[in-house]
Amino acid sequence: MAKRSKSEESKSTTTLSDTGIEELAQAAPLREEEHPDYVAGRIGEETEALGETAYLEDTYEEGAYDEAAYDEDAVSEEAYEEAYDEGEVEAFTPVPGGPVPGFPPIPGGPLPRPGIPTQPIPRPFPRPWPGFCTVVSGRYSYVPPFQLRPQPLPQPGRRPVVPRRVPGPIIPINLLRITVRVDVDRYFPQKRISIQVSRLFPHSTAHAIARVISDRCNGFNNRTIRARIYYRDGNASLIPGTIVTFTAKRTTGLGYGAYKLTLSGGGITPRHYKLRFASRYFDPVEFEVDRVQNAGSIVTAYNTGSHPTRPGNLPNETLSLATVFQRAGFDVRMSPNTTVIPTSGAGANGTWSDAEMHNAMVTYWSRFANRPQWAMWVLYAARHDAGRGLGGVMFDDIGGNHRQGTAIFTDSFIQDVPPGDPNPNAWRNRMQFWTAVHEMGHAFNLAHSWQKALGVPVAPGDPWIPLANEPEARSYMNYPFRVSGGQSAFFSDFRFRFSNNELIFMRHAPRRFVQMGNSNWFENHGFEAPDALSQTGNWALEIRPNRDATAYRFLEPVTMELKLTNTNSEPQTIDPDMLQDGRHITVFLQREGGPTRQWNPMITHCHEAHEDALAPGKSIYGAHMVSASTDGWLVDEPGFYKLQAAVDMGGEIVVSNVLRLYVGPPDSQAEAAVAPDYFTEDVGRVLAFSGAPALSEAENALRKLTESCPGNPAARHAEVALTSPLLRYFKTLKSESSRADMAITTAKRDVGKAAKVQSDALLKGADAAADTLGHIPYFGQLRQVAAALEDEGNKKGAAELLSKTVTMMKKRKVLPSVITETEAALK
Amino acid sequence: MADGRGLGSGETAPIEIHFQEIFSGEHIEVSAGGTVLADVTAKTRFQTGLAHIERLRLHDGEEVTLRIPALGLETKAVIEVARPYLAVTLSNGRLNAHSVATCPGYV
Repeated sequence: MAKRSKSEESKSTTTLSDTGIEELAQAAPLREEEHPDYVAGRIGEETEALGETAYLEDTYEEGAYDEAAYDEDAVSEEAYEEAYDEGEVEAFTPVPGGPVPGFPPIPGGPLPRPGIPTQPIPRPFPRPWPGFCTVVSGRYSYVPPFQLRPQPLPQPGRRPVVPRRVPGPIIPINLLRITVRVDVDRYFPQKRISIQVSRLFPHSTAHAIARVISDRCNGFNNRTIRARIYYRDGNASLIPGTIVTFTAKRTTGLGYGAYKLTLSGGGITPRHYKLRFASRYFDPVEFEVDRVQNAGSIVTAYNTGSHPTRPGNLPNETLSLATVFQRAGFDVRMSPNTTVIPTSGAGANGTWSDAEMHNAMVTYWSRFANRPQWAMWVLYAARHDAGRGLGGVMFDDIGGNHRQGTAIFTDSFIQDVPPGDPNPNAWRNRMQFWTAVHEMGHAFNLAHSWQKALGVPVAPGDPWIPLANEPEARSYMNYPFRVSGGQSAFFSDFRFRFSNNELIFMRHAPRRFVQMGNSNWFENHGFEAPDALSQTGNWALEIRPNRDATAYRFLEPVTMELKLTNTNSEPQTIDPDMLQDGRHITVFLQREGGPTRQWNPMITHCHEAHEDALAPGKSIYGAHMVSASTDGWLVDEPGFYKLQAAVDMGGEIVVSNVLRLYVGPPDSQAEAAVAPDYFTEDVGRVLAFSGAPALSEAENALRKLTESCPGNPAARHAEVALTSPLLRYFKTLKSESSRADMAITTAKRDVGKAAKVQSDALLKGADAAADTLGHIPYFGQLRQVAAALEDEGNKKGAAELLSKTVTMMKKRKVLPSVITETEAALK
Repeated sequence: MADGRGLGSGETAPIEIHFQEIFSGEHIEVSAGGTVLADVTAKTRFQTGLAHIERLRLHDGEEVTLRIPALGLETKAVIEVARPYLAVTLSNGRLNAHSVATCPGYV
């Protein structure tokens, strides 16, 4: 029998109550040091191929953070190092594996064996021997610089102590609560560090995830891990910088004794935070397993060696439900309050509906509270109303707190062993065990492997970006019978684990996305690192402002340029207008701390379908003003925003980079004063349509903007929108009292006036104009004015304007083909 | 689940039509030989990947038409009694149907 690791053994031997489910099986996992999927620490250094230089070159908007917010909480480098050197910094804080009273802490649970590294051992051994660092993965919490000093408890029988002055500060100046999750070793390490920050006053929260770029063992239990932030949620100013450095050092004794988090990069002064080890797990969770009386024998543990269809090097061990989620990073507690639910009152209908299960959950689950909590109810029942075809379901999408309960149906298709299977009994056990974990995975907000790309297209909810499907994943969240080769192919390569993207989500996504009873089912499910999606091999999509800075003025419309490049080695056919026509592209925006919203274009162009061959390395382009959508303004407040685009290339979803931009606060009272009239749906339409004389109030708002805020880039947009209708005989549908009275009227054209205003708006401070309008709309507008001048007979004016346009194009390094096309119009 | 409805007496067999992914409340008309057999409103539950199961009694070799009038989509399937489960999906702008011998499972 496989030896059991001490830490996991203690979790799997929960004593059940007399009314509990006697069949609830025990785990017997392999010792973690012997498990091939367990990483026991680090020897030497590992650095990502991207290298650190690239990260250090990252820039960030200077002054964008609220520096003052940190002054009280950040420990200065000097003060920290001083304390560190003197061994005052948490020399005996708990460490992975738990503290040992009266003795230096023991790292990583098992005793460290210096010089005898456990798996995986880098080969060949680095020379010279660099030292060995034991595991550091787990959850850490911030230790504020000033601790509340504990008061001595009053002793019984003694006179009350006269209050006296306690030296030093006694009120903890702990405005920040920081939780750091380090994920670089133990089971299935994802090489991530995530940071969760909560500021108490004024209340604000933030979350960031960083990808490890180097992991160095500097000597025995002296480890430095650097990571780059690639995901943010909430108030970004709470987690400044771009680089996260986590250090764990031995002080006295054998184990780690001091932990530190440093935020740096992006032009900020590095900030240091002393940490305390909290747990080897990332979050606690409690499972309560209840069984309906007629569910029969239930499977809550499985011996991985019992069925011959398995990976060749899969260890032979007995996994319990707790083991699986412990390895996913959770401190699992199996509730002792198990219940056998009687069927005496069920009558003729012994099957279960979702509503009945929800009611049973409310009645029988000892922890039911209808609020977010790290706890879940797992029900084993015989059959669902839907019939034998339903093997299990996360039924709880009822009410305001979803994902609290799951069910497994023992009298269902999961008992149907394929003909000829070599071990039918083991097959059934495995299928029931797999189903239970699968349903519990749903309660962690994990979608099916092939559904990752699905969001919730409409409210309620804040759908995250389209995600990449993993149809062949060997994950608990995939259907074994759905992959190529069927269930046999699945289980021959299944290591009883979740996929990497699922583990990143469970361990590091903002906790409200994952925690049971919190975010609604299927909202923000299966969060995934956005950049992992763009590597389809066929196409690369880029969203960019095509200007140097991603900082925008208050009121300034945000125009984004999209670039789709053929990254295949062969030419590919493509609709060359697909980025511009507004029908193929999807853009998501999220003001940090707010919900993700989808941009819907004001204008879509239907055109005859046509496809061109796009050579390898070549690109097509499009540009859109994304500030305003059909349902209102999406960028209308100061703050940080994230944007990401996606395009469906015949079923292959190509996702862009995430672009982060900053919108400044009003520069003047005038800017603040025009805002209420400016951020209206009609003004959005006037700007998007380059004029809409019928929307007179919106046009008045824009005139007011040009008069009171002429220096704001939005004024240039307004000038163009207000005068563009003058470039043509603009038709307006007028309605008097009834539809019968409707008539089309044509406004007088005034090309000269429009050309004068737009030349000023576009060519005075031309670079600033091109920056704010965006390359494609900017040059398109210049050519439109030139065309109107020529159409009116002013060929000289048109030629002059085109000539200036060409000069500007060359200066701004526009594609040669576009310049050539414009020069041809000059002739 | 709706009660089964058939075309009448004769050699009919139970058939299950499984509306799977990705339906978002579409109205689907199931007909055979010009007779509407069922009107279904299907909405996929992402927990299971199943929207609705419609149970009917049909003849072997009978052609069934499934139609979503609002989307102008239609597909046809020939009933095989040996493959009594008709899996219907709506994906990539198409309505698809194929018969399988064993009951599809959902978890």
